[in-house]
Order: sequence, then C-alpha cells, then structure tokens
Amino acid sequence: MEPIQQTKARIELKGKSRELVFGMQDGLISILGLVAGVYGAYPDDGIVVATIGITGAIAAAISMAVGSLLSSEAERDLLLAEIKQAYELFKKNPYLAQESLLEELVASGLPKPEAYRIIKLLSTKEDALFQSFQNNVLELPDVESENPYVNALVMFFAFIVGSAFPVLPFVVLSGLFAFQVAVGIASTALFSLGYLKGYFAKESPLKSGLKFFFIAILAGVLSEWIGTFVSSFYT
Amino acid sequence: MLSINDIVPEFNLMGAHRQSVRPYTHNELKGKWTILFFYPEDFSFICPTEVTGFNEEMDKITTLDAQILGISVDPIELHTEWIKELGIEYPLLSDPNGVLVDQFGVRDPADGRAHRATFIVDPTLKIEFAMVTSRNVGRSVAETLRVLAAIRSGELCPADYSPLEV
Repeated sequence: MEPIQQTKARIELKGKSRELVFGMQDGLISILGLVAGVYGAYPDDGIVVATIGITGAIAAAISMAVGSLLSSEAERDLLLAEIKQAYELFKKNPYLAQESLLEELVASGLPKPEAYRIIKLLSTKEDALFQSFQNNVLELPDVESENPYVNALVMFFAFIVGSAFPVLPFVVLSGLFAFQVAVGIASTALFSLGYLKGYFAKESPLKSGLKFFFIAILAGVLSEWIGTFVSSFYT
Repeated sequence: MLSINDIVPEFNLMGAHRQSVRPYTHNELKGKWTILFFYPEDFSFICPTEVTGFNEEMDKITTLDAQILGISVDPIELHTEWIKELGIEYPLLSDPNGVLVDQFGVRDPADGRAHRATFIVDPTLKIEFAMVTSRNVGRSVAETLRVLAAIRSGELCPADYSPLEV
C-alpha cells in the first residue's frame, strides 16, 4: 500500500501548494505594485517606501489569511449542508440511490449483473452505499480533512515571503537603484514561481515562468508611472 | 394497450425456466389461467421486489390453478442469470425486439423498455384484467392474486372482496 500512501501524500501536498503559490504570487505582484507606486510618488524617500511596503504587506497577508480561512469554512459548511440534504434524500428513497448508482456503474462500463451485485453488497452497509451514492451519483466530494487554519497560516507566510522580495531592496538600498533591484528580484522570483508552477501542472515551465515574469515587469513599471502621475497633482 | 376481452396475440419468444431455455408460444396459455406481467428490466432494484413477490406466492398461484409468466426486453442470457440470482421458480420470457411489448401496447417510449403492466388471461386467451402502473411504482402482488381469485370465483365482488383466502 506504500505507493497509495505516497500518492495520497503527494495529492495533499499539491492541495497545500495552492495556498503557497497563490500567497507568494499575490505578495510579489501586489506589493511590488505598491512599493513601485509609492516610489513613483516619493522617489527620494526610501523610508516612506519601505514603511508603506512593510505595513501594506502585513495588512494584506492578514487579509489573505483571513480570506482563506473564511472561504475554506464557507466551502466546508456548504458541502456539509449538501451532504446532509443528500443523506435525507437517500434515507427517504433508498431505491432511487440504488437505481441511480446502478446506472452510473453500468455507464462506466461494468456489466449490469456485476454492477447489481456490487450495489447489493454495498446495500448491506448503509454508510458504504451512501458514500458511493454521494461520490458517484451526486459527485459530491468528501469533506476535506485538512485544517483550514493551517491553510490560512501557509497563505499568510507565503504572502509575507513573496512581498519581502520587492520590499527588502528599499530597506537596504535607496533611489532608482532600489527600485531597479526590487523589480529585478521580484521578476526573477516570479519567473521561478511560474516555472515551478508549470512544472508541477505539467505545462511548459518556460512559458509559465515568462508569463509570470512579464506580469511582474508590467506591475512594477505601470505602478511606478501611476505613482508619478498621481503625485504630480499634489506637487 | 390491450384491455379486457381482447385476445392475447400470437407470439413465439425464448423463455428461461430455472436453468432451462426453450421457446414459449401463446399456446402455453391455452387451457390455464395465466398472470402475464411485463416489467422494465432485470438486475435493477424495484423489479426484483415484484418478481420475487410473485415467486413467494407460487403456492397460492398453484392453488388457484394458474400459471405466471414474466416478460421483459432483456436478452435470454440475462434472464437466466437473473433467475439464478433470485431463485425464481416461474418462466421469464425474453422479447428483445419488443414485438409482444408493442402488441400489448406497453412499451415505454422513453427507453424502449416495458411498462409495469399486468394481465390476467383466461384459458381461451381472453384478457380478463389489465393494469399498468407508473415506472416508479411497483405493482401489488396481493392485489393481482385477489383479482385472479375474484374473477375465478365467478361471483359479483365488491371492492377489496376476496372470495378465496389468498
């Protein structure tokens, strides 16, 4: 059973990587946009850029983590409600469950007598029959066992790590050079992230990496222009 | 759909009784009262409640000097397997092209299978009772036997009156 355990662990890790990739990507792009915009408005004030970058990153990371937690909980509650409703239908009309499951199994290629016998066997244990009805007929997934708080924490730290790339250059450097380094580092990090995402999703890693890279460049340059443009009204 | 006083049309279908398979014709019905029932399909979950329901009442059917035949559009091989699965003691006839199903007018146009239709046929092949129910509703075995007993008594029978203890 070891290969099965390994596959299950891999699937679970992939589930977590959704939060990880999304958090880092969002941290990189949004905070790069933020610091580039502030830099456009205050090109000579590195402290303002760094302060806004750090506080913005923390606030956004909290918001993202809370969003992840609430959406996970809402998704879980909705699924539980659907499963409860499905169970009531199942209890009220077990023949409907059996007939519809039979139809599904036959449609999937099983000979009818075999499909009938499987369902008859499943019917000796109500939970087993309902589980099959839920998964195969209603196509309702099981409630995920993963902890939504863990996912929220992963999201929080991934966002912080992602946002550190465009913020740190403004902490240790200043002026145009800080901006150039921030855009360069963030673009490289996003390229790597896109490359990895493409690799795991069995897409072209280079294509995926380049897509992320150009998004970063665009976010940095556009935000800097917007910052410069908006600040021109106040000077 | 055929109704009372109609005559059972001629037919020649393969039928399975226990594990033997042979042709069955309308002549099988001559000289004996017959419960002829159509059902949608083998290896499903409502149909066996009826098929085994009749099987459990075989003694009463024999007491009424009657026979019973089930018909569906399933192939004969499936009938054989189904009979073995459920331990059915009476013949199931296979009408794969639905010829007899159409002659009786009991085909469900939705999927080409037979409706749940029940006919009681007298020894001269004249239909004395005809009933069809919705696909989702299994028929009552007890009611079928009550009607058979009532018809056979030759009496005037009010609602739910059963002249024989069936």
